[in-house]
Amino acid sequence: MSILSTMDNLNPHPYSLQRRKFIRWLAMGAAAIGAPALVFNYSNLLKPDATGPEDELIELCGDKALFSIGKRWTENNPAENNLAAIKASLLKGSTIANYDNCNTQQLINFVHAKSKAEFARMETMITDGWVLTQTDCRIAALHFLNHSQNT
Amino acid sequence: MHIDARDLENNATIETDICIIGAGPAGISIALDWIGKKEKVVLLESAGFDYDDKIQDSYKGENTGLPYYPLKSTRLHYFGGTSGHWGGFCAKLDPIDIEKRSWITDSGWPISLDELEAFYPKAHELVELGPYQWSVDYWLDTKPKFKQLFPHNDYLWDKIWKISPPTRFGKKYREAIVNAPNIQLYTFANLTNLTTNAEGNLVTEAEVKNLEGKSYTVKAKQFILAAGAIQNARMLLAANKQQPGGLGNQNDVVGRYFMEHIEVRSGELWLVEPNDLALYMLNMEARAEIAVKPAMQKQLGITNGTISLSPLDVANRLRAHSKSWASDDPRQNIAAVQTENKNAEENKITKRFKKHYHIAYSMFSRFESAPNRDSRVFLDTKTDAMGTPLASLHWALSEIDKKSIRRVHELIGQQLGAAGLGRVKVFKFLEDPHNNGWSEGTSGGWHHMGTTRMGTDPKTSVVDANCQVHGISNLFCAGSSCFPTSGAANPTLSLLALSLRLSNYIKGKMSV
Ligand SMILES: Cc1cc2nc3c(=O)[nH]c(=O)nc-3n(C[C@H](O)[C@H](O)[C@H](O)COP(=O)(O)OP(=O)(O)OC[C@H]3O[C@@H](n4cnc5c(N)ncnc54)[C@H](O)[C@@H]3O)c2cc1C
Repeated sequence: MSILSTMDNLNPHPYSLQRRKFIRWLAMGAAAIGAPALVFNYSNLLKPDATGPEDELIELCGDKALFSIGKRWTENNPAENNLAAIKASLLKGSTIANYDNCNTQQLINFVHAKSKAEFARMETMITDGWVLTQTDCRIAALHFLNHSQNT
Repeated sequence: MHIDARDLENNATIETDICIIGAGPAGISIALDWIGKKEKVVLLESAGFDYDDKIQDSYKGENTGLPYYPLKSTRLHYFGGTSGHWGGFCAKLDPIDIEKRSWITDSGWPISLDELEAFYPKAHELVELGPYQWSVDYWLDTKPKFKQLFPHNDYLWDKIWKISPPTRFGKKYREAIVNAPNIQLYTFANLTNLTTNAEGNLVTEAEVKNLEGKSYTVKAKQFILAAGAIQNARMLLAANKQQPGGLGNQNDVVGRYFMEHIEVRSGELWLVEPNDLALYMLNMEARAEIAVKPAMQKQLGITNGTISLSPLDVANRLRAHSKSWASDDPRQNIAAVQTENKNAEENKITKRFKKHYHIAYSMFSRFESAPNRDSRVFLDTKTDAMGTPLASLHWALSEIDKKSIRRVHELIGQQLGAAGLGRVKVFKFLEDPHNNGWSEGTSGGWHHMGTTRMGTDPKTSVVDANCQVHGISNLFCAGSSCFPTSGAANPTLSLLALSLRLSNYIKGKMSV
């Protein structure tokens, strides 16, 4: 076996890692000017309030990757190439009536639970390298559509 | 007793009860097991107590299959054998590794794991692994920082690996061997041929040479080839003066079914919340790797393997071993790998901010390769300085090998997602289920196995359940060359257990 079990630079994941590195440098900079590291380790200073179900995946996969996954989803599923259809799909099975006008945390909980259940049933696909559920891909599509509308 | 064979008279004859060829972990463990017995044991070692590049040259060879390390530098050719470079990572075989698995062609050992189990404690002691504790519960109790990523999971389990200092057999056991009255260690004693009786069912003598041009003969009641998996096959194939295909090779199996562990960086594991995953990190005693439960292996139709985790940014600073282990000189390679590992370590400042780091992990696959007849060691037309044909290697993998690694990543991704812990990303070469190619970074673990595999049918095996070459009553193979399947565990601990079992069998045979 290897002396150390790591190696190689295949497909590094620079985007999110860089983001995290930035946060780390920020924290280190703050530490250097006197803010105790503990504050950063345990406070929510660097964790803004959740704005939607996509936050967690942006954090995990990175903006760019999520954007690309979402784009692919809309290309492969033309019927879901619009925000209304994606939102309707995401809400399927929920009592939430209006995606845009509901309790954000309730929405997040529902969508995350839906994705978890798909993971548990092993209903996954590999897209852009990520092992994701359909719900994850729809969240990515939402991110893509939101983003492309905003730009 | 130690004898430098260069000082022997040319054409001398040595007589003994047992002749062990090769003083690596396999040969030394057997020799140690005979200390104090009335039988005389001769231990033949090609070189002396130190690295000798001229002798190491006889390990040169061509790679004709998948890209592999230069053959000259994948092993060490002096007293202590390759334990001079091994990393010391040890794990036991799992019950499923021994079983006949309907979804894996040519799988199954002719012995049960219990038969090997009896010899693991002694093997464990030889490689100085500390307490004989292999259950994750023991380590969870002992180390409060150790926490499981998937406790109570139906499909995944944590396989414990233990870490040897690593024991350098040449240093650790030299004195015991040299001081044992009934053991004669001959250094600079390189086996070049094995001669049988006219019927071909009994080895009568071993021909030994050295670089100084001297030849001599060893006559013994029992012969044990313990020269490493590539060498064991090479020696049997090269013993072709009486039987053109070599010894034990009536069915063209010698050298075939060569196996290596597939070691490749294969994915990333991203967590929602920071977790230092201490149970899975490299340390001095024991750690866990993520493995798939047997029922799930069966359901998915996959081979056995484990996934080890390490901090992603440390992993990103390391090159693949296939790149850093590129020289013909093993000393240069080990130095390169050690330097790279050292340079990749986190520095003190970043270590202070670990909580921010502990989100992204590199996934490293360590998988068995399914037995494959086309994966083989064979003789070259070129010879070494003592006239023995060099060994060439054609390393081949099978479709199931790639599928298994991909499937395990999916499964871990599914379990991670289901638990709400995070997501898994697989590397490009694993994405497409129809692509059978391997990434450039794919390499082996320097673990050579399976070239004289154990079995009941001589058409698909070379040695029987007692490691005796089929049809030759006093010729045995020791080491991982006898493994019919490799499991995902590194081989040394199990090859030691198997060698000790062989030693015990020979004791019974000789009524010791
Ligand atoms: C870099 C590296 C890291 C490794 N890390 C690990 C690890 O972490 N865990 C693990 O389990 N394994 C590891 N291994 C593998 C481990 O070293 C081998 O499994 C082990 O050494 C095999 O023991 P052996 O006695 O069968 O063969 P060897 O150690 O190869 O010994 C064979 C001996 O036979 C002698 N010999 C060969 N031909 C002849 C001949 N014709 N006449 C006389 N003598 C001969 C040789 O000189 C040698 O001394 C690693 C190997 C390498 C190279």
